[in-house]
Amino acid sequence: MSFLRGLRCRECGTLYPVDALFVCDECFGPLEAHYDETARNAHVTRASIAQGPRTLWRYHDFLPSEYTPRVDLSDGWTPLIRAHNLGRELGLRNLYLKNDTVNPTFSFKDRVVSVAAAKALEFNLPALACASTGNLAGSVAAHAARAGLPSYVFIPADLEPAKIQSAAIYGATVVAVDGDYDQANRLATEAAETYGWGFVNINLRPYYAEGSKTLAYEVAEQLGWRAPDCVIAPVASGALYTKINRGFEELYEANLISGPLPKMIGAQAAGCAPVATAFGKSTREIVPVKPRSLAKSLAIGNPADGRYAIDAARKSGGGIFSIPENAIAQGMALLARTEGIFGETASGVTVSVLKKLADARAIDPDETVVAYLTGNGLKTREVIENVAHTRIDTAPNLESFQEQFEPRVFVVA
Amino acid sequence: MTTKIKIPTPLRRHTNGLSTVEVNGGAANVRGTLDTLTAQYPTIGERLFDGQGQVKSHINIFLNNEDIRFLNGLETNVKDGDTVVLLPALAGG
Repeated sequence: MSFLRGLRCRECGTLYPVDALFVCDECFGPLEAHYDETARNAHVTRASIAQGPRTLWRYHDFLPSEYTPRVDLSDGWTPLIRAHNLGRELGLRNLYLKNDTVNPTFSFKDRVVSVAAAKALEFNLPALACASTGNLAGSVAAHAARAGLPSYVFIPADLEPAKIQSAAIYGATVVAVDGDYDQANRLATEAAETYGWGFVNINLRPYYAEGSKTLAYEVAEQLGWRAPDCVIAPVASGALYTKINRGFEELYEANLISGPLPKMIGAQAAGCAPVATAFGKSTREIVPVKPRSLAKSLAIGNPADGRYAIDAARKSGGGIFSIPENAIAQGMALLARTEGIFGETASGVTVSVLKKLADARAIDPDETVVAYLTGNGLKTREVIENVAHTRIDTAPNLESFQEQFEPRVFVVA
Repeated sequence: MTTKIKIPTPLRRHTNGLSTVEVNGGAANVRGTLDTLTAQYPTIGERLFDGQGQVKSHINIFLNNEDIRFLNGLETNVKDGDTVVLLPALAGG
């Protein structure tokens, strides 16, 4: 059952009914899902969760919607993998990877969209829509198709072609905006006021954001109901990072795990690192930037939840850090070569920040560390076109192959 | 000189329900334009500005297509026919 009781302003605490609202009339603060936490914590057990489906909906008691099979593409419940090889490379003995590249549309966005789509149906909204850096567009389009709704996705026109195509195939109307993500987002915010559509990351945002908490629930359950010592996740708007933190807090409050709660590490790339910059300057006021990063899924120059991400970093004893742009592809290659997982640019950023901290001995080698891999590399192939690799060109016969191959293998004196 | 100001839904109760307000007069910059707006609709002022006269942190202000933080902030010059857009800063991600 859902223990949702309404929406509440994060800044001033004003309460609102359950509806497609996202901003406080009083102070313009963000609205968040508000639950009867006492009733929920008395109700939910490890056993009640285990009875649920093997999707993120097994945690519906912590979500703002009932389980809605009509929108569930088997979202979430992705593998948590022990990373011996990458761990050896980085000097971390207990490293795990949460592999969200294998979600139905190949990114963690399926978690948030699944919840938002359920609310769109509940509110009887005529269409599903979003502003997107790409991954979200595909997920919205797919879930709208399953729910039988039309979809409209607002994207920067210069997005990777694979990301545009992987929204279009589901029948979405692609609105290609001549501008960056922040400008596409601004247009979508105005469109949300003009049309009655369910914009998952605008007027459905209080519900949508809750889906990211399942990344914490699953990791804890997969570790045998235990919190890791440290987690690392990419930071774009800061919503994912903030909600992972909230997810661990909720499990602790419900007595499903014991403390201490994980240190929260956030990862950005230098081409768009407003949150890491603010963290480094010990302020929570984010100065917006014009994104110039290869990691387009993280290229949000005006991050709505940046200040809350910084709060979570400080409170948990973690931090938010950036790596140079040339470390993005290096991180992708390191991950793929050591663990056989082809993550997208955001995963390259995450792995490279983890490497930077491990190299600096900022993480204890014996700590249990979980790195969140949030999207699939096939959508961002452009950035690895020039990755160093071994290639042998040969005629279709053994002699030619040997001629080309053997000089590389045997050192000729 | 006429400047248009677009009002987001949560603030329209301060503008008699209007989604666009036209400001006439000689306001030279964004601050002056918003001051004129506040003179016409006094209750909107405290929604936009904190006690120090700074824009509240959850409000984004655009002049035509650009966030004023990338221009000259509240001191950014406006000219005849420009549009100032007020939007909640919460969407996205």
